[in-house]
Amino acid sequence: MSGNFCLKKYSSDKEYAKLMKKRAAISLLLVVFGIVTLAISLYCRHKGLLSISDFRQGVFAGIGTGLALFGLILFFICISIIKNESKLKAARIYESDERNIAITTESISIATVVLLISMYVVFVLSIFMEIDIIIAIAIFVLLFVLTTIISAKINSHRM
Amino acid sequence: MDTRIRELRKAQKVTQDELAEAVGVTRQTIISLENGKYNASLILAHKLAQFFQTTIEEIFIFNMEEENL
Repeated sequence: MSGNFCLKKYSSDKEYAKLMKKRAAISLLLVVFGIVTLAISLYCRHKGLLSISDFRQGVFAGIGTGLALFGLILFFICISIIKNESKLKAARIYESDERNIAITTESISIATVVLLISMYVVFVLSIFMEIDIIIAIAIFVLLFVLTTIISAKINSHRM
Repeated sequence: MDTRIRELRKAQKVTQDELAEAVGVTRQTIISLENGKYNASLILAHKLAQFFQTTIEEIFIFNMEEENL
């Protein structure tokens, strides 16, 4: 279970089992999205509908396959946890463990700083390339700043 | 923060696994607490105090100098 995102405490196995059922449903959705992505890519390639390069079509197909496989693996993990009581309890304790929650929070904050620095570097380099990249990065940064401000306001009322 | 968890645990002949299960955390968290690498939350401190039937002050050694007080 190492590598799981631990962000919330679950006081009972019943509550955690409900979360696992939700995760299983979401993982099936990922499988569907993956298959749809792969199908669109293969259909367009077959019919020659999209005037994009082979490389881009390959990336599209790769994302679809990866998403479907990831969803399928996640689904089987969730089901195996739901069906086994001792596994369910161990998974709940691992995910609700306050030290693991602290580790996840710290890791996310470090990753956020790295992400913002990387985006800045791409932003600077993209001046020599395409304007679309600059616009996309600007939108992402704006979205990030807005989300941070709004969630800080909401959390300051909750705590 | 230094703690007396290891000392109390050994006095009561409790394993790290048993203590972890009793207070609802992983064994790794108990190890980190015993080594002073991780500071417990107030809730966990209360659970540990209840488990050892003592006070929080008896388990956790608060260093005034470390906290600049």
